Amino acid sequence: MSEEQISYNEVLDELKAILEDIRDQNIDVDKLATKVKRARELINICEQRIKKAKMEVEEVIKNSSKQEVGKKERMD
Amino acid sequence: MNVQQKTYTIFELNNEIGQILESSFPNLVWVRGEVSGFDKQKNNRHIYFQLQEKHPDRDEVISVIPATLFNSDLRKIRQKLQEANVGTDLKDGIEVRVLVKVDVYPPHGNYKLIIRDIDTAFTLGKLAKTREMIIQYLKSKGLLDRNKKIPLPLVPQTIGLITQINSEGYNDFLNKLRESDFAFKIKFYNSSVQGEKVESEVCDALDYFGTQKNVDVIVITRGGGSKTDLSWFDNKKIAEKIAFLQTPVLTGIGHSTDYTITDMIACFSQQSPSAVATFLVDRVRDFLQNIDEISVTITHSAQNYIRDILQELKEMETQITRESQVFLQKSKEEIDRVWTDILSYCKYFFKNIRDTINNYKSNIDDLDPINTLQRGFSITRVDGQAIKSINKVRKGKNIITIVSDGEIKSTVNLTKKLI
Repeated sequence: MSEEQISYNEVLDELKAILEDIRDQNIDVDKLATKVKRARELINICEQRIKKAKMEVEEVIKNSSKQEVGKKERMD
Repeated sequence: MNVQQKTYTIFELNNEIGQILESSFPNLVWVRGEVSGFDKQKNNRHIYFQLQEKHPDRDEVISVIPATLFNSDLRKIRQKLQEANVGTDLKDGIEVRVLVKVDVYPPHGNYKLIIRDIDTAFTLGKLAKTREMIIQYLKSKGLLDRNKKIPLPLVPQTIGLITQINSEGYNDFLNKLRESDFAFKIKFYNSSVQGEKVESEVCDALDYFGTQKNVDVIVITRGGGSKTDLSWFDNKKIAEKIAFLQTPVLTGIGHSTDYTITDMIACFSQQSPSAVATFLVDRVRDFLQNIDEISVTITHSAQNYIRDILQELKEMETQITRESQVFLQKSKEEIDRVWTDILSYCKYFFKNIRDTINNYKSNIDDLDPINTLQRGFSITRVDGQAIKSINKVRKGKNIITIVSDGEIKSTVNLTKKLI
């Protein structure tokens, strides 16, 4: 499954797992940098997803406002 | 045959019979009986009719006598009837108690009653008694309310009209209907509204309309009249017919003060023919108004409903917008927090590793003798062996003491055991 297909919650779960490993020091020092790097990647994915969702929501609101205006104009 | 015996001429015989009758009834006498054959002569100056007696249990005439009412007596009697509120005239079928002179007319050889006066109380009493008996009968059979229980159509459009064509009851009723804007459909059945034929003709009409499935209501009308005129509608057979009909019957018989048995048993009775028409027109109008009101109410309700659900949707949209923004904000905060935590735990991770290494280092350092010497401890050797006891040296023996930065050579002077 590519990262595009992974759901936000799955990304978040992986991120939390890394956090937990680091917090509990349940990790090899050699792999720490790799894990932190992965965590940063996951955070970027999350941020992109949030940004995308926000834009989409704003787009929907914008369109709905336009429709309202159109409706009012028709009624007038 | 003995021709010497007295032989009457016709006239002599009639004359003698007349004298015998007159001597038997020298005065006026009271007679009671039912009027018959009056109606067809009622407009004449003098009226020649009959008084009759019927079998008490059957509708069968058992005795008849001719009667005459001369104009002067007729006027007097009419006056009395009017004053007693019986009505303006005598009529066929009613029972009367009259003061009569028994009279014979020899030329015709017949006898008759010359009516001189009337007992109005008797006629009124008879009418009232007959009426009361009919009412009691209908009540005992449970017929009084039967037609009233039939629901009247909301929009009575097809009307079965029973009355006399071109009579007051006919014209008043139809004119009133025509004044309205509604298209009533009239099915008419011509019937007498006065006289002996009322019973049979009204019953036939009721039978006819009773079999017509598309008749919404049956209407019986008759214009105003005297009590005796209207008493034709105090009729048992008509009442029974109405009671057993499946169609509601409306009546408008006479005027405001009249209330016949036909009115009593009908589904609805109005005070006059035009009042029945008004009742029907009002009913249709009320229905249409009601429909209009319902239509307006439905429209308003629908508009309110649409407005409410639009409002609800609008609120939900606002809520969703707000909540989605909050959701995204929280998501952002959450991952920020995770990253902060990761960085913080990384620092801790390294610190911990460093601390562990330092700890190891410290332990190792503690084991290095150099470190011990630097703290002030020293090692003393004799013959290359570290001295651990005074027993290993003697007085005069050369020893070497090693300190952190060099050696001290010395000779043993004294050994002394500690305590």
